[in-house]
Amino acid sequence: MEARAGMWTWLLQRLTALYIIFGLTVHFYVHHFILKPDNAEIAGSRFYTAEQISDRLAFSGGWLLFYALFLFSVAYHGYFGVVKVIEDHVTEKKTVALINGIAWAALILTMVVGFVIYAFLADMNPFMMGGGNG
Amino acid sequence: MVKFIAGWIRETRLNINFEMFAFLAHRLTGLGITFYLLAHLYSLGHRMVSAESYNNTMLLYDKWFFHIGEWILFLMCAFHAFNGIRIMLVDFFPLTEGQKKLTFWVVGITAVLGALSALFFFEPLKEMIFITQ
Repeated sequence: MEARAGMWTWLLQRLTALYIIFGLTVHFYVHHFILKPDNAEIAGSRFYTAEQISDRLAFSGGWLLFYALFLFSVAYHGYFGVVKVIEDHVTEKKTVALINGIAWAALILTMVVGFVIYAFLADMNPFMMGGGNG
Repeated sequence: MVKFIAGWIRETRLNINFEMFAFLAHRLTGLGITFYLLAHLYSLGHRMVSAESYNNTMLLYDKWFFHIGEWILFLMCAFHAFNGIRIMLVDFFPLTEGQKKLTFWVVGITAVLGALSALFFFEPLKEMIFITQ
């Protein structure tokens, strides 16, 4: 049973790694190359304003799916990567189970926080009826 | 944490070779990128306050020292990704004997990408120094 769980973690680490390489390439390309903003006159700087980001993300199921998978992959790969590092030094079963539990809790929390932030970035405030928070 | 790092240093000193440094660098870059994820979520979270708060936060990050930080982050991601691909290739294909060569390729590709990307990351810095003054 434990060996099977370890096999799934190993496989998911590799699958999430592949998606992260794809996702990071897309994220980096979109943010820094094809839609590179020139907001020098708006804000005296070079970055996407909140308005430009909401224009891209609002009501786009594709971007929502892309970022949901991306956040899951990065969080899973990162948190369970840290778990693997700790497991190299800690062998006590109870402690290992506790660390795995904390990693799962952190993953779920990250996904929830990520979805809320995404909703705000897409200008769809999940805490207000009718959406939009200026 | 200190105990872990001390353990890694002890292991590395007992077994000094190129792959050992790649192993250490993979772990350290992985930890760094994971901490960056949390910092990135914190930064994006300013949008929950207001659009203005978000824009001001992004404006704050548009400084030369943050651009250096972005470049270092890019290098960390590039090394971690290419070294991860090397690990997967060795996992799935009979390449164990050639992994030292592959590690050199990983460092080489990361170095070339790092040099090329520097031209991109420091473009705003160059403008700040040479144009706006």
